[in-house]
Amino acid sequence: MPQAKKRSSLGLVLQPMKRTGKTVANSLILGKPNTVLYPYQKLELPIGYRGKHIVDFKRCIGCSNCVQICPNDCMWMEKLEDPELGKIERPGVDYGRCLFCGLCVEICPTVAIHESVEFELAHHERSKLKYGPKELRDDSFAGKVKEERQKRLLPILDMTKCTSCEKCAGECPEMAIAMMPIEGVGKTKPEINLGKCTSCKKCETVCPESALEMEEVYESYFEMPEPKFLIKKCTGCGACARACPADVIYMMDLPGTEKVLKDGKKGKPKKRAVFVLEKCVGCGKCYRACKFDALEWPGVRK
Amino acid sequence: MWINMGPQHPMTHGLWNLRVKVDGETIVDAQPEVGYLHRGIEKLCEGKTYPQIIPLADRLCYGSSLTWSHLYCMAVEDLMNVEVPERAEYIRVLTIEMQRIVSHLMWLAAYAGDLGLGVGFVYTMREREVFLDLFQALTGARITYNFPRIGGVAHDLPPNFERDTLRAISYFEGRLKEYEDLFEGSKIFMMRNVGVGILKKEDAINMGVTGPTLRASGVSYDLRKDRPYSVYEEMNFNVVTHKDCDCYARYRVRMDEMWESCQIMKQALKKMPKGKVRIVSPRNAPVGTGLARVEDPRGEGMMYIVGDGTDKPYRVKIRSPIFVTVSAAPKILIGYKVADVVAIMGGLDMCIGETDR
Repeated sequence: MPQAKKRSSLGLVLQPMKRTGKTVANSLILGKPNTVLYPYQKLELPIGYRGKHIVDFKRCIGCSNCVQICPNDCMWMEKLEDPELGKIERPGVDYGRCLFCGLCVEICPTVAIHESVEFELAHHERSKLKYGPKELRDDSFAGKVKEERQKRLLPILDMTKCTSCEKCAGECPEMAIAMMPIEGVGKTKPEINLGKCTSCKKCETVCPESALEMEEVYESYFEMPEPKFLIKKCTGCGACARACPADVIYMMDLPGTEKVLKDGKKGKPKKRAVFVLEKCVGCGKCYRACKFDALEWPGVRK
Repeated sequence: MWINMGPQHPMTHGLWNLRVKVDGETIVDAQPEVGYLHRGIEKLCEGKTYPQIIPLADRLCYGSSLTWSHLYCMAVEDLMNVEVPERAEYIRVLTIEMQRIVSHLMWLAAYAGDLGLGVGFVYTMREREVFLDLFQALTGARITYNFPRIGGVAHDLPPNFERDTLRAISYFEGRLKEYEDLFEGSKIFMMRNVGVGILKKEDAINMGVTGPTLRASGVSYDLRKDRPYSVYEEMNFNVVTHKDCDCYARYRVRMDEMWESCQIMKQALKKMPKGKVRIVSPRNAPVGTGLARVEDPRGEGMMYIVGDGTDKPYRVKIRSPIFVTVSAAPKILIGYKVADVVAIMGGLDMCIGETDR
């Protein structure tokens, strides 16, 4: 830092006086005061300010990723009955514990939760600081706030329609689709290499059953785990498919496992879970729903 | 006679106790006692996943929280072998240097208040506000930012941020010159600083003191220059040293460091390339260790992380600069008067959050 100029004794007296005069003139006569009358006037907060959460119920899929990433365990999932959306699970926040770190906003796979500029959350009772999903609900914030995350078009498979015709794999110009056999079912299903896919929509147009449909998926900066399936332990109960919030699990019949009933007719066949992992949000609900240890969650220390 | 200065004493700036043995007014022995603010952060880290620790690392020191979360991210990147995009590195350097100014300004405010210069407190806090507003626009919070991420930073610069930062820097550089008049023109401030609390060069090196306190003892040691991390190699700046070894030298080093930080910020804004600011970070760390060292505003901070292949660290070790610096307190204090304790301990820039962790 350059040293200040050496001044005479008169300058030492006059220089601070000049500065003080300038400050007084700027703040009192020319400009407005530095303070605001708080409850009546408010400072303008930047868009990125991290305050009270708002949740878009229509975008939220109830995956509970926000609850799992929360460092302080201040969020919880609440079961609700909504006239429009039916039986749903949506997050609530305890502001007595919230750090306002913003990790829940970042990890949300559908950008359904956001932090607003509202900061007046003080209350006389601690119990009132618990904000349930209904108090956080704001279905109209999408579009108003700046969306940092980028969307990506990806072909998402509907397993019920797929006939394993392999046309999509043959037509893909980037060779991004590989047909992988499903063990026990005797069919194959297309698996998309996300690194190679350029969202050219070729597979969507070529599919005769319209089983592949392009859907917008938000890119995530978090590497999410994927469930590892062990077919030997699967009983086909379907608990994982019912628990999955992103509808990536399909229960498929295993041919040749039908029991022959007394009257000679064939009963229902056994089933197994099939995962379409392109849309998986990595929440782990299937892993927790499985009672037979047929799903493994890699690399988690309990 | 032993006197307890702390844990509730205007001098301490945080919860810690300084026991001094006095002979009349002269100090003959001193014992710093820390541990009143122990929160077990190192142990807490073992139960949290890697992204969850970033806000926790912010809480190590509220004076310079961004340095600590940045240090944690650097250690995890070393463990996971993650390459950070170049733009993110420039944003990190920009924000760390801004954090250094904010931290030094808060130190200066507290120091001026300690030495009976109330005007200095108000002036420095006012300038700190300018940079806190910039941080608020950038990260969304004023003190605990949670901005660095494993593999980059949380998001890109907001619109007009570059213009506002350059404006703030030019405003602040003018104010820095004003501080010189304010502080060094004050006779009381100079009398309580010059020749007080001498820490000799050999003693400072032997006690493991780092940061501005070491540089004020005449040792040119700065990790930004000696072991450049991030993109400090590209930056052109001087390591500020002073040969007086006293409280005045420590004040002078910090003032000049704020000036150098302004120069680094200007260069970072000028050289900043375009591109991505973040990459996808792995969830699980491999089995191995990660180490990072940074030049904190208070000295050399270090983090050592052991990964065991899961999504949580096996062990996190934090090296706090002030924990080491405070051990040199008896060496500095002995021989001075009780009234000098405020100036000497204030000049070390104590931060108990990171010391006790």
